[in-house]
Amino acid sequence: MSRAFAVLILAACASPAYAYLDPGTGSVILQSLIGIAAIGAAAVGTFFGRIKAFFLGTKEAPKSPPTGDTVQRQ
Amino acid sequence: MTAVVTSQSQHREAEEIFDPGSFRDPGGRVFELDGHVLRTVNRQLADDFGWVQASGLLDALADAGKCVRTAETRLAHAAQFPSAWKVLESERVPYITYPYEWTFAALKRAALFHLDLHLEVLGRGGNLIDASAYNVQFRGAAPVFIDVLSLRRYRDGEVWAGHRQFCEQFLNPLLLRACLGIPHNAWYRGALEGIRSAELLPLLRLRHKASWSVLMHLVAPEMLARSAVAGRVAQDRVAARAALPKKSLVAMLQGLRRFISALRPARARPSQWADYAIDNTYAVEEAERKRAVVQGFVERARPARVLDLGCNTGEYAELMLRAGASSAVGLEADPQAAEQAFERAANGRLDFLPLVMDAANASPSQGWRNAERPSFAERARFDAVVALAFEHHLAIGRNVPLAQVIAWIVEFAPRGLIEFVPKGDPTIRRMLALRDLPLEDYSESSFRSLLAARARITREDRISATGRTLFAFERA
Repeated sequence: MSRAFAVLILAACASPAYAYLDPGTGSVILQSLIGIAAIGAAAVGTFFGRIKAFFLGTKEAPKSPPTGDTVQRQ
Repeated sequence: MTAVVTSQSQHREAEEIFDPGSFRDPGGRVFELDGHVLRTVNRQLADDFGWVQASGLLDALADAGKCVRTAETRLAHAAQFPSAWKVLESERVPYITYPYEWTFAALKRAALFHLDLHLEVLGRGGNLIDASAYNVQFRGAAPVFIDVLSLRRYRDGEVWAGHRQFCEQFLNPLLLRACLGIPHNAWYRGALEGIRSAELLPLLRLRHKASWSVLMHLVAPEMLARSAVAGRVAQDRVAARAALPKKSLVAMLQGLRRFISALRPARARPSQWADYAIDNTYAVEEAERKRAVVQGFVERARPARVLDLGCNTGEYAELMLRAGASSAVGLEADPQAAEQAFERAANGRLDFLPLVMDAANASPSQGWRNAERPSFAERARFDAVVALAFEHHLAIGRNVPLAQVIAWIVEFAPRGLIEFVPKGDPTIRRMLALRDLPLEDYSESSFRSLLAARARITREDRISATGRTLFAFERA
């Protein structure tokens, strides 16, 4: 049962990239948690950014320089 | 293996004689043919390794001295691997060594090098699929990466597959010494894949575990692995989110880099031999005479590669390199003396690599089929062997018959220099203070006749009032 469970996790976590090395269950779960925390932190950051922008009446700075299309529309 | 073979059966035979240490990654194998280091790349890696080749990564790393230069071979030998997608040739590293032979400082340097390499490769859009310490070799005290098939294209969100391997092969052996003062060499030699966190953790104290890096890289993965086996982790939720953003991977590598940079050997006990260079039984003029004889030997022999048996802190290895030897490998049983020797090599940028090894128990052939990691003697390719103040540690310290000591030393190189230490010498009197060892067969005349039976003695230089003598020899 426990072995099947470990295989399930690893199979589900397997990257499409070629990998010959068994990364180890503990390491993969740890990195998944780090990944979830990082995505969560980024989401929280964006959320607070929007609230701040709403109350201050400012717009968020664009993350990338305006493209040619944007310039044309202006 | 000089002729190029053509029949199918011969092709199969050629493809089966790969380097015994290169079996793990089925993406390719290493072959040594006629002095060339060849590496096959299988078709399954066409996409990934094709990207690596096109990215210019291999040349950029080779130009910076970080990776052995590797390119597709034009040798006719390539025809022996018809099923390979590509056949590469790699630059040869002069002398292959293993992490269980390295000093703490060398292992630490290799760990930081691997992390820096990983960060650089990630910055260029690539990735490293493993983190094996055996993929790092040394040219002098400078690390170099040898396994180009570890390089791949980075895919968004992929987890660091080599994390556990990095911990077992770099971090945990360093922690063993940094936290507990125990050199990693013996344990690592017995556990070729490295030191498992599950085995190290019960030895660490609470204060060692109260470190973010130890919690993160040892404690947490072990707890999570146990929870997974016990079925306490919701596998579907974890599996659905098994993605590591690149920023987090970079932060993990940088965090490990900061942590390892600060590691130092703990509880340095007084060493028996580390102070030998300044606290020995030679008078000043005797030491000068010894240095002159060693220098003269190197100037006459002009050896490219020297083996320094019992290299201590590397004083004579440095002298030999300055006298014209191209490179030196040292053997030293005392870990602290070897650390000082490595420091000398690193600070002086010398092509000198001191290894922690007991000559009476040199590295054996081991691993899969006892061939994966060849013995020290099998890897030995030296032009000269120098054994200064060394033979008595085996002949008297370890009771090895003098004839065997001489035979063992002489086999390493076609010429050499051996210091004979007579039984009246203060060092031997100190070694025999607590035991009564009959030494009828241990004398200068028996040493001379035993050496003469195996090689031509070309010179004898008495260098101390107690009768220490340097014998230069050439094998017939």
